[in-house]
Amino acid sequence: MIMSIKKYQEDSGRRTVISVKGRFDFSLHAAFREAYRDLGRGSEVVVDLDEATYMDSSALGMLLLLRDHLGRDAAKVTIRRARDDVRRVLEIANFQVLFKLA
Amino acid sequence: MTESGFLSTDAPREGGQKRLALIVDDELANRLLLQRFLALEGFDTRLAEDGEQAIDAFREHRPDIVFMDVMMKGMGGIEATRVIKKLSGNRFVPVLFLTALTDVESLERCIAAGGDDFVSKPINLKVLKSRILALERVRDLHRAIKAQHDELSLRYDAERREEELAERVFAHAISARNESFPGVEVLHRRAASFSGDLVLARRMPDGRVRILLGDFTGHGLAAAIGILPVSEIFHAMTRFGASCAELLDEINRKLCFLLPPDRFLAAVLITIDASTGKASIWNGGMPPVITIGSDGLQRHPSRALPLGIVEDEVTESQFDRLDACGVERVMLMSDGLLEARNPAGRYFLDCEFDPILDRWTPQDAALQAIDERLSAHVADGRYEDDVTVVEIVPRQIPVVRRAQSGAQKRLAPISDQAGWEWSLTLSGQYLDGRETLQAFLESSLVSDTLGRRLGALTTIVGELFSNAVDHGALGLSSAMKDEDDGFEKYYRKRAERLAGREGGTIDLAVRFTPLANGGEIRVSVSDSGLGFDEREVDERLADPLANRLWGRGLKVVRELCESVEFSPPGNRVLAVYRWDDAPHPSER
Repeated sequence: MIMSIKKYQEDSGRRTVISVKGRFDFSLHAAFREAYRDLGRGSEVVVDLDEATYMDSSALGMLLLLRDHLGRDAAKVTIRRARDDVRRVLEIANFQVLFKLA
Repeated sequence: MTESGFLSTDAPREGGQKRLALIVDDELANRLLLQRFLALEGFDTRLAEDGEQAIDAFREHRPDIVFMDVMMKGMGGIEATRVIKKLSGNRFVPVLFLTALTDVESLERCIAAGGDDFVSKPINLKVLKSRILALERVRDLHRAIKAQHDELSLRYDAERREEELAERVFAHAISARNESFPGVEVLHRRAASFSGDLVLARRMPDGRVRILLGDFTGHGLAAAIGILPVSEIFHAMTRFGASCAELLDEINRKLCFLLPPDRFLAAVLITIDASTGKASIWNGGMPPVITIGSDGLQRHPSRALPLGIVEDEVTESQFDRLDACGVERVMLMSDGLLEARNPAGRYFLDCEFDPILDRWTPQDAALQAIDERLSAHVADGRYEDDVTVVEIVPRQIPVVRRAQSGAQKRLAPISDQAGWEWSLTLSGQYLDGRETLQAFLESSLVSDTLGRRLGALTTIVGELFSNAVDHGALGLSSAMKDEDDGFEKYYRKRAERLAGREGGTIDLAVRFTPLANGGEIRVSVSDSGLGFDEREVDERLADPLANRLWGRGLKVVRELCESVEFSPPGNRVLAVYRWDDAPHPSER
């Protein structure tokens, strides 16, 4: 099986990057959660959506869970490289209020 | 697990019974040899000499395993195996061929007929024993898988049934309280799994119409949890005249409290004043609201987070306020519409939506085109997500006028001490304004003491109003109902006249006066019709043989009221309803 969620470190380990490939929907729930489970409050996380082709509202919910896990307002989550279709979903939901969109 | 087969036919033999083997061979010596061996291995055995006997014995004894010779007099092993495999259906009964044949082609035919394995004659008992073990392992695996499959199917069915039940309950809870308005059309396509779209609509005490289109995250029951509380809050607060911001804040607070962090409600709230054409739009997480009018096509995008995520209050900058700028049509939609995929995987937004908008004009509705194109687009009718589209034509929403309106008072806690009065005129296509009427009544009777009078007043106002609409403004005669097919004829005529806007006008006024220990409500209704002879009604009611359906409504009103008086020529009626909240003397 091709893994749709990849996790790696960036900036000498200061940032954790979670990259999502293909359809970002409920089927990735467990893998996405697994990717941030060990991270503590206030950790810096980048969700890279360069290879995500689609995103639905349950994926928005998964991002909210990530933010919750990292301490809500204290969370430092950046969502980067979202393509047009995916960016549209994020913007309709006004997630730029909660996340840094890069 | 392996022995906990779900179907009784597949369960292990009861009471520690031995496994049963069926031995099919036309040579007595072979049968006896195998019988002795299997007995040592703990099997009970049944014997058959040819294919026909084998089938009969299989039917009768339902063995756990079959040992089958290939070449026999009469029906051979291959043909018998075909029948036996058919007979065993879903139950896995291994058939092991014992054969002197060694050519590949014959062995292939054994397997093709449904045989599960073969052992060459002369039989090496050690080999046979291990083949039996292997086959039993396969059988156990088969049973385990089947048991799991059955259990999954049961659970799946149970879940589907629960979902359907929930959907019915929620749909009922919502639709029972929703108002429908001329000028507000809704298109719904339900996904296979309940997907959380909801539409709520209600008239406010000041006459504006408020509509909420929402889309809960997720599917199934989880998507439906929030529907009831949202519906309750919407109706209660709208009835009391709460502002959009107050309503949204309350829903948001409730959902933040109720829902887990990954669940939320994307929503559009629109409030329309049909008398001035003013409207306010709040969009949190839904596709843009689209309007068309003198300004052309305008999009009103989401400016707020969906509800139920953070407890921030709604701010004024999140609203789009439309002045009386001539908005002719408004379209609200859930993302299920834009993201509906055709069999090739393309979105409705990308291939169908723009041409529909191109043909959308102040005069031409889009809903029907959306309906048609959507059905063609999602050709197999399987929707991944709920699709909801609401098209509003503010101009067509009935305007509720009031001579002396108590409406403004509703915004503050009402003081029933002073009494109040409101009146309402309905005409033309909005003549049949039962829902409007009910909303007025409900919003007037919000205090505890008056709330208890709602049932009686609904009946009184409803009956007098129906009477005025049907017999007055629409000029229908109740006597029609006496004829054989009268009821049907009556209602057909009624619908025709309403549709043809042949109706006249109805004026209705309700006045509340507080009394020492209770109060009095006077309901007056007048219509533009010719009136009717009230004595005729009385005579008919007195006649026990007369059709009792006729005029019954009026009788109930008379029983409830202190007095009911018609003024000549019968197109004006005044009903006085009085009550006393003081405890009855005997109860003191």
